[in-house]
Amino acid sequence: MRSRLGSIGPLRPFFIRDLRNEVSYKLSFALQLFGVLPVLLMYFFLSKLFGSAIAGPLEPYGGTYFPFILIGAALQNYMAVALGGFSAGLRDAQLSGTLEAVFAAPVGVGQYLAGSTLYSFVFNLLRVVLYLAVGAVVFGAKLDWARFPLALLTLALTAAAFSSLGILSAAFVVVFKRGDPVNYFINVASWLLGGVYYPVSVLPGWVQKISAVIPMTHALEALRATLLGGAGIKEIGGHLAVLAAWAVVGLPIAVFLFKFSFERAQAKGTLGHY
Amino acid sequence: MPKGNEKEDGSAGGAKAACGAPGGAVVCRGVSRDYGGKRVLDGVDLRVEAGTVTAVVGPMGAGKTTLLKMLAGIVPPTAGRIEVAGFDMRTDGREARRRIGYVPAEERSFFWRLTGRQNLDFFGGLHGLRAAEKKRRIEAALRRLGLADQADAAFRNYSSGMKQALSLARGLLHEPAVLLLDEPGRSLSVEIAARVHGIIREWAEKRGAAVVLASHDVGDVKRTADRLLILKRGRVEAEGPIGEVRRAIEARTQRDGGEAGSALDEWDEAFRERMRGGA
Repeated sequence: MRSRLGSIGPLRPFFIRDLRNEVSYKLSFALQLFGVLPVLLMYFFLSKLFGSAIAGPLEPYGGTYFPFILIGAALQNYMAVALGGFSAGLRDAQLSGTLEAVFAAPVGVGQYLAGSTLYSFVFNLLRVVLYLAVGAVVFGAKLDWARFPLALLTLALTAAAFSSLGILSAAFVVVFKRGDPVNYFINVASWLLGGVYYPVSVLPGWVQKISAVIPMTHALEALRATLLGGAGIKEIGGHLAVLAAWAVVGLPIAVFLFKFSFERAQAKGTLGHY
Repeated sequence: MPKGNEKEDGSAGGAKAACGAPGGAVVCRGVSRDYGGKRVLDGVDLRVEAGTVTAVVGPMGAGKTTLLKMLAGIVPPTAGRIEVAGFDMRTDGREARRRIGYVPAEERSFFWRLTGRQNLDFFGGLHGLRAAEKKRRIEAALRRLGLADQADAAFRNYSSGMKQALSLARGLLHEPAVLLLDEPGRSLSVEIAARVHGIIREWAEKRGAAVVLASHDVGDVKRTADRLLILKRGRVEAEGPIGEVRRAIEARTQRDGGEAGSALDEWDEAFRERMRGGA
C-alpha cells in the first residue's frame, strides 16, 4: 500500500486527506458501500417483472434485463464522479475556505485537479467492482470475469473521456460559482440517450445518431460486450477509439479552459469566493 | 524574550543565507491592486532583507491583507512586480511559493473534519516533505506551539487560539525562507503569544528568513519587528527602521499640531500613544 501510494507522488496528500475525511463520516461511508444492495435488489425485481417480455432489444446483451441494468447502474455511478467530482471538489474548497491555503503551497492546477478527484475515482472504481460482484454472487448475473482486465481498460478510458467534460464543468464553477450547465446537460444526455436503462436501439433513428457521439454509449457498449458477451479488444476497439478520442481531444481543451478561468478568477481576486 | 533589533541605517545587518533559498528578500516595485474598479493598493514599494522582520500596519481596509496575499502569490498584482526569494511571482510563482510560509488570519483555511496533525500532514505533503522528515517536523511544531496534547483532536474542536497556533505551525513546516503572517498574535494566550513572538524572531535571526507580518497588535510589532511599513488607503505612508518611523511620526504630528487633516490618521495616533507608553 505504502509503495503504491508513494508512486502517485504529488497526488498522495490529496488522496490521504480525502480518505481520512470520508472515513470521519462513518455512517455515510458505510452507506455508500452497503447502499449497493437495495439498488440492485430493486433492479432484480424489475427484471423479474419484465421477464422475457423485453427480450428482443436485449438479445445482443444476453436477453435478460438484470445483467444489462447491472452494468448500466454501475457505470452511471462512475460517470457521476468523473463528471461532477471536479466541480464538487472545487466548490467544497471554496465553501470551506481551503482553496487559497492549498494554492499558497506550490501546487499546480493539474496537480490540484487530479489530486482532488483521485480518491473519488478509486473509491467509485471499487464500487463498480462491488456492483458487479454483488450482482454476480447474490443475484446470479453471469459475467465473463476473464474479460475483467479489458473492462478496467474501458473504465479508465471512460474516466478520461468524462473527465474532460468534468473539468470543463469545474471551469464554470470557478467563474460563476454556482450553476453548472455542462454537468447538467451531459448527465441528462448520458442517462437519457446513452443506454443506461434501455438499449440505444429502442430510440428513434435520428436520436440514435446523437447517442453515437456520447461517450456513455460507447462505454456501456464496450463494457456489456466484454462482460456479458465475452468480446475481445478487436470487437470493442471502435468503442475504445471513440472514448480515447474524447480524452485526447477533450482533456487538453478542458485543462486549458480551466486554467484560463482559474487565472481570471485569481486576477479578479474571486478564486476563494462562493 | 528576544527583542527586535532596530537597524537605523535600514541595512540587512547580519542577514544569513535564508534556508538554502537563493536569497530571502521580498521585493515589491510599484505594486498596485484593484478590486472591482477600486484601487486598494497603490504603487507600493517594499524591500525586506533576509534576517529581518517588517511589520505592515495601518487602519482597517488599508490593504495589509491584500499586500500579504500578493506576496504569498494568492492574488496577482494589477500592476507592478513582486519578487520573493529571488523568483518573480508572475513567471516563477510556484518556485517562489515553495519558499514561502503563509500564515493567514483566516480560520477557515483548514479541513475541519481532520485532526490538527492530519491537517499538518496534508499541507506538509503539498510541500513535498518526505514521510519521516514530515513526521519529525510536525511533532516538533506541535510541541513548540503547545498543541501536542490536542494534536489528534478534530480541528473543528480547536479554540481560536489553537487554530491560530496550528496556522503558524503549518507556515513553518517546510522551513520557508520567507514568512508571511497576517495578525499572528490574534486570539493567542499570553504564553503562546510570547512563544510565537520568540519563533518569529528566531526565524529571522537564526534562520535568516525575511519575515513580513501584518498586525493591529502593537505588542506583535514591538516584540518582533525591525522595520515598519505604514499603509493608509492603499498607499505607503511611512517605511523604514522602526525607531526612525516613530520619530518621523512624532515630528510630523508636532508639526501639524495634531489637527484633523494630519498626514496620519487616528490609528497612527493611537499607535504612537501606545508606542510611547509601552516603550
